[in-house]
Amino acid sequence: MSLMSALNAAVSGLRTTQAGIDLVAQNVANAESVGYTRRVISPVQVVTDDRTSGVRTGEVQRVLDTLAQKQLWTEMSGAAYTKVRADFASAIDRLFGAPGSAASLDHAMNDFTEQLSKLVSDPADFSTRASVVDRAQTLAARISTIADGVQNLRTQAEGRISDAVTRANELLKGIEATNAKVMAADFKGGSAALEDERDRMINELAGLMDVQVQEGLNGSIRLLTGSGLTLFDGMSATRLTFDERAVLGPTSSYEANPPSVGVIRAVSVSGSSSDLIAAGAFRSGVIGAALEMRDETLVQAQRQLDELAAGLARAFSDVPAAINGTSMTFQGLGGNPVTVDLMIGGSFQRFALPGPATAAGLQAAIQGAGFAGVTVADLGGDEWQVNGLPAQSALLGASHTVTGLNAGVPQFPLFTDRGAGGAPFTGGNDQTLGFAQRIMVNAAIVGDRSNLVRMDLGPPATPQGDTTRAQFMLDSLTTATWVFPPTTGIGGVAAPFGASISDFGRRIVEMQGANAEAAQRLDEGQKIALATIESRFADTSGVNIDQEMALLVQLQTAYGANARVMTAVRDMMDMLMRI
Amino acid sequence: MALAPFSPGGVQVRRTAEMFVQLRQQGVDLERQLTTGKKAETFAGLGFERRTALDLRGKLSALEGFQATIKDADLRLKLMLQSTQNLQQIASDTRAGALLPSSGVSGGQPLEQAQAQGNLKLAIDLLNADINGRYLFSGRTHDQKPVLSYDTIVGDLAPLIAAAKTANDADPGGTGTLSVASAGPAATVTDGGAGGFGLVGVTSSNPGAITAAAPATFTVTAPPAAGDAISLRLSLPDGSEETITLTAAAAPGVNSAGQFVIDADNNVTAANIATALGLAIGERATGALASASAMTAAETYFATDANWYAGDTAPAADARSTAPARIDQTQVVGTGAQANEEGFRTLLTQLAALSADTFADGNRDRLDALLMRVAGNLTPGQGEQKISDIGVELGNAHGAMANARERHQATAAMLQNTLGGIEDAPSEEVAAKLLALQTRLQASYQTTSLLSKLSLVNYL
Repeated sequence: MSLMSALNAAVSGLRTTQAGIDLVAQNVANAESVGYTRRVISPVQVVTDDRTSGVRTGEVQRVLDTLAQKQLWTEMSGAAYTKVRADFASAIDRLFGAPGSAASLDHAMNDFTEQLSKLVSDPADFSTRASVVDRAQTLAARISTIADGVQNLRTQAEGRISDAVTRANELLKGIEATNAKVMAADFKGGSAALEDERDRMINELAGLMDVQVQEGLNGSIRLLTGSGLTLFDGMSATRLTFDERAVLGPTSSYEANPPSVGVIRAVSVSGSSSDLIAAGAFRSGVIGAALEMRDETLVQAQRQLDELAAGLARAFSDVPAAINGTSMTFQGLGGNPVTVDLMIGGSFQRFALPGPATAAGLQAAIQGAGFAGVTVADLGGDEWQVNGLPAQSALLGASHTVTGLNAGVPQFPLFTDRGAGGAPFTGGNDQTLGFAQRIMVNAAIVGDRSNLVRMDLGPPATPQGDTTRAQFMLDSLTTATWVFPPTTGIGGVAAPFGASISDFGRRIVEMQGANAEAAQRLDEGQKIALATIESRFADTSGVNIDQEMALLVQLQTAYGANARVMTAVRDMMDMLMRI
Repeated sequence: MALAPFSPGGVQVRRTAEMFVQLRQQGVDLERQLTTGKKAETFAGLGFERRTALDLRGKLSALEGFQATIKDADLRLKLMLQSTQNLQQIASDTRAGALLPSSGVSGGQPLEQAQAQGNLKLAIDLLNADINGRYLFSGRTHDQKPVLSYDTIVGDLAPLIAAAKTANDADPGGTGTLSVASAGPAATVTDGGAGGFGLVGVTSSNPGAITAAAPATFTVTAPPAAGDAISLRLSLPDGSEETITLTAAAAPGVNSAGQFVIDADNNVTAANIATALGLAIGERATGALASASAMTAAETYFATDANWYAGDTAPAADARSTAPARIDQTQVVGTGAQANEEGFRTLLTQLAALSADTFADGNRDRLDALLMRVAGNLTPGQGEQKISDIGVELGNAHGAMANARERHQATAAMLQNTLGGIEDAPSEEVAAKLLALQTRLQASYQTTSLLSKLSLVNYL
């Protein structure tokens, strides 16, 4: 033992304390930095031969609860997912207008109904007729606007996916680069800063999609999607591509072949690509939510509006057939298009036939639609009876569409299809898709409002004050029951929703409102879950200024003590020199 | 992107900040509730009661529709009731007037005719009543004035009446297609053809002296005693009957429309009977027969709607249902009426017959006969529609509507209350919540500020 070894020990103490203060300074400075975890340094004794010769700084270590971190990533994905869903659901809900406001869908429907009831009371009145046409136009425009809003939201979802995929690629690249550095630094010991940086990027990626992180050798990691597809194998990152479509419309569909919306693909190093949406890779995060919105929720909203628009059109133009078991009888069908709704083997089917002029023509058309055993008998008196539908089928509704304005019957095409050049809506799934955007009031009725009353131009002509058609319109809207396919999400799969048009409209508003509320609730719950895990994580890994200050005091004292040792050694040296 | 970047060290500060933002937002929402009075701006915000709210709004709207219908129909019905009451008044006045002794024919224009002409004009105006261009007594053809003008009707009818009189050989001084002759002890009335009088029967009070044989032959078998009577019943084109009664009068009487002179010679007595019958028939022809002709002409004219009516030609029995007013989910009341309904048509026929006939010849019998027919026709028999029946039916509709209106008002108030309970934000509650929020926010601010000072940094 010598004075020099004491001096050496004191110097090493000073150096170690210095490093400690250095770290405190870093911790304090980075207290609010994104992704920064608190670091600690533990002094270790320097052992020379068999005795301690001083102290040295140990490795800078992150204070990390890895279990909490994994959970944090899961909750982050979840929170991003519920937030996007809540945002979209609330946006859909808002499309339907505020409760009771003049801009709401149910108000437009109620208003139209009210005017119809006035028309019944005074069918010949010019201004009442004008009001009916005006309210019908308002209602059609309302449905169109909402449907356009739905497609706007789909386009937004598409944009979100695109942004998210771009960002995910940047992050994966960054993770790839940082991971390489971590592995290199790992040998030298001390890669806390790089690991923080890598975790920061994983944090952000977790918000975009659900990821699993697996630790590899030498500080390396592997990244997988929640469903198990590899995003980063520890060496190179998978590249994601997304062919974004500028504008989405009612016909844009992932189900189409090829899909007419953007598809997320993984491009491997070898250049082969695979459809990640089909593989179910995105179950959470922004991408998961945006995909769900684009391909399911908003598609269903469009379908609801389409069915509402189609129901409105058919309510005024369709003559229902008499149904008895699996037999149906059409009255006065001659040349009018036919729509039949039925359940076969538990699934809903709708087929639409162009107007057959004869009973034999109807038979051929139905057989052509895939019902080979069907026969049509001409009962005389313009009655055609359809028999021989499969025994296990349940007929829900059958009707034929009156396409003329003055065909002598109350039915008439009040609403027509803008897309088909203003032709009447005749049903059929192809025409239904996107009809919400195209529904309009028949131009011939806007041009001559007396068509609201005059079923027959004569002779004898329908009197101007005849209430038959007005009464029919009112009843069709409020009391007549129509069947809505289960694809609208309203009503069960086995028992499709049967209701009046007004009721169906209200159910749509109600369902979207309930969806928005549920999404909001879920998001709030998820926020709390995230906050809880964030707090838990922060308790361990966050920088606490008080704690750092206390440490600083401790280090200051240690520094002073080491310096005091040096002073003592110097004094002792002086004393020796003076001998 | 969607979430704030995560920094473990800043979690507490961020949480506090988020809490402030949240409280602030709650405050803003409460303020909105206070301003708008509404709990939520979206259906999501209404909670599970949104379905009730939507349905209630639908129901309220339907009620408003019913109320609008009732209001609209109410005004129409009031006017229609007023019109039918006035028409009813005209009918009863005319009937009462016709039952009184006539004022006589002076200057060719009896008072009764002048009144009838004025009443006919009034009745046509009443039946042509409209609201905002909607004719009330026109069935489904609201745009058609139902009854043609007075001038057209009277102008068309006058020549028809004259023609009918001529055809019935009633005007002037005709015999109503009958001819009277005596041969030996028999006086015989012969019906010369269609129209005019018909022979119904003959009677004799003293068959021992004068026998009466169908169709119309009186044979004197012995001289009758003074006071013996024979009668001849005649049918008229309007279905009524006239009875001519002749009383035997001892010589030196005069044959007149009421008596014949008894002669010792049965053949002369028969000739006297023939003369008296001729006088009586002539009197009836210019009186009763002419008025019956006028009435028949008027009835024929009004029986064909196209002559005078331009409104809805639906069966008049369904007149009420030409304007059905739906005043409740299933309740429909008929508020329509047509000017060609039996009650209205009968009144118009009587008034027109009186108005279009001419009394220039000063024949008071004819006036009396016509007035008698008018009075008879305006006294409806069983199963014939009266104007008051129409009034009663319209009144029933009016009553049903008044009931429905009250019911709707009560229901609407109840629904509105329920809806308010769901959609409205009670201001007292919101104000209390705001106050509580303010307190909470202030306490949070103070605590946060206090805690932020409590850092070791400040004490080193």
